[in-house]
Amino acid sequence: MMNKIELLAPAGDLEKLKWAIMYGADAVYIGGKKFNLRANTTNFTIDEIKEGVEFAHKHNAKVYVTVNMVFHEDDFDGLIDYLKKLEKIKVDAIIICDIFIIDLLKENNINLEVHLSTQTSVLNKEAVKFYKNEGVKRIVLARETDKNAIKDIINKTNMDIEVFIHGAMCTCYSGRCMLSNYMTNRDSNRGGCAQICRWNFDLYDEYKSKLNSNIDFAISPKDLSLLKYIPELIDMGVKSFKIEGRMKSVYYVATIISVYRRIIDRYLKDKENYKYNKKDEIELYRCANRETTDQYYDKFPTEKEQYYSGREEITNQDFLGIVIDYDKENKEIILQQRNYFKVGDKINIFGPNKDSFNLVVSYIKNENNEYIDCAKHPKEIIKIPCDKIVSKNDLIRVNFFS
Amino acid sequence: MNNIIIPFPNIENFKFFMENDIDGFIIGIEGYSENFNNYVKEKELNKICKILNEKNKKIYISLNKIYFNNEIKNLESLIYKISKLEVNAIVFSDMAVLNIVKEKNLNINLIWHCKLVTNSKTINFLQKRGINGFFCSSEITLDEYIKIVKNTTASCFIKLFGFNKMATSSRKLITNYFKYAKIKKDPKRKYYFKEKSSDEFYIVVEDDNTNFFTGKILNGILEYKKLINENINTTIILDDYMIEEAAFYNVIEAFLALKRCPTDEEFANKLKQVIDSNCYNNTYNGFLNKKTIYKVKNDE
Repeated sequence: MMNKIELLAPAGDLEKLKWAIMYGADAVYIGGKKFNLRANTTNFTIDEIKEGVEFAHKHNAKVYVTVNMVFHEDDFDGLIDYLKKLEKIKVDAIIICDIFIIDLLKENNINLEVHLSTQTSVLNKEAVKFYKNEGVKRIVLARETDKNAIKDIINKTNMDIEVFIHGAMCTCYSGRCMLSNYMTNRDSNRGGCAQICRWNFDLYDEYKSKLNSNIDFAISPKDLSLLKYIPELIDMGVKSFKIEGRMKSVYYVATIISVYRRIIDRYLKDKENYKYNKKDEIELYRCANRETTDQYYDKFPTEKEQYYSGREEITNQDFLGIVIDYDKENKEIILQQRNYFKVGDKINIFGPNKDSFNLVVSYIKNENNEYIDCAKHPKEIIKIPCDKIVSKNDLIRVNFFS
Repeated sequence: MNNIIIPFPNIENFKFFMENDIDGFIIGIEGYSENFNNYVKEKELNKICKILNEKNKKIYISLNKIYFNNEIKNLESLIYKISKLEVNAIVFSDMAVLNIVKEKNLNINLIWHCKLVTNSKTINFLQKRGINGFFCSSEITLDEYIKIVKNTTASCFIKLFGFNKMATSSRKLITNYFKYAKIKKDPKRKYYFKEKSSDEFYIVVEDDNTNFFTGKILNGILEYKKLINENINTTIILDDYMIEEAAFYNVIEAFLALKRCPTDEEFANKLKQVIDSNCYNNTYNGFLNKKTIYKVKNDE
């Protein structure tokens, strides 16, 4: 019998929620307008959460809502009402950091499954046991947890464990970092993180003399990717694989989810003959414009798992367009352009539950069926020839495989 | 009455603190605690506790780290040993400590010390699960603190002097930087860092973890006066981490003087100036009178 492994995607808004589920996520985590830690994303109104839940449930997927801010004494207003609404619209769980919410749910007879946020920095089995005894159904382990700890925690506690497998890392223990508040007066634990750990600094000795170096003092970690370890993590009994990035684009979410979906399914279908495929790695790493490493998973991170000065963050222009429709009569893809491409370019088309394929653009037509040399206007509707039938919401990107 | 407690000093200065009116000590244990000037070895604990008990000083053992899974076995053994000593409480940051005490049914008081201590509901939740008190987060205002104290029966502790910790990373960030930049310096010293466009210095120190601190020193003596005047029952923590020894003596004397004579406004202001000048006027009052201005939007 197959292990049930959940692939959990971030969704910053309703559109991304739908894309993530279409591209293979078993569940998505989202934030409402209140009580969550991503003040800068669009976030969901109650009506949007309801629509998202209905969409997800229709596609056999789940929705978890983050209620993960660290509350101050004046922040409680509206919380009970909000939790009742989440219960009513049947969200599958809430993700919390501040644990008084456990009692609040009981006292108000609110029936919501509780997951514990990585913001609580749980690193060990004793902490897991504490929260398990309090009725927490799942724990998102701290990103500092290594593979031996993950294995031991699962074996000793039999707790549902969620592990981050891909995305950005905090430099410091999550939920215990006050850099943002102290340096910019923006409280990261109430949604205002200014991402201080991505800044560059000068370092000075104890007499405040600047150290003589051309290299900035930086503390930013490279991103996490546990791509190579997916089979190992499945066999350990991890319940949920979490992708970071509620503020990322539709293209990013679709690409990352489709790659991990493929790997999980491939391994579960035929464990004995599963082989790591370098092509998956290329696809995955190309999509994010930051380098990735396995961080704490296999060894303690060193200077190689960090960024220092001089790093260029190049905007990814691989994403060329979204398929809007397919004209069977003329054998043409109708698409909305997202980045520049021209006649003669090699492209790759991918979509949910299908293998990607390559194509050379032999012509481009605009909406008036006039031939044009290139697609250079963002969101312009254009047509390109393709013998193979494609579906609405398939994505078109640069063919970087050849 | 508001107690004043300080980190356990080094052995040479031990006598000075025994004879003054300091109410108690927070003891950092080598390998299990962080951000102390002086650590006590596990094997010395028994002897030190006996001396402190003879002098009727309160004893708090600090387990203020988050522990990796492979540290749990030793942690269990240490907690068991502490539970057999005459100490007032363990101060802890990792829920593992609470779980170990509960599972093993150990008879020891627990004080929760974590960045997450910002409201009374969470404290009361944990009080029902066995904690006896809390060290509040440095991110809250004095008014928020007073509200919390009024909404809980747990013992309350607030730090009113010292460098405030901003964050902890388990990465060796100074070592890593020196390796990358090929700088031959000792990573275990105190360093300052600042953003290029700013004049504000912050402190970074590396031991088991890398810890980030404010560059300014919290001087909350006027807030102490307010707490006394409003009859807020709390224990005050004065933290000597990275503070010059002579200056810290004067800080202690200033707080003790205020404790003896808390009503005189002018006297309090003079004591504040004494502390400021002992700290090269590199002082401020943190978030005690400054509300965080940016938080998640409340519109639905």
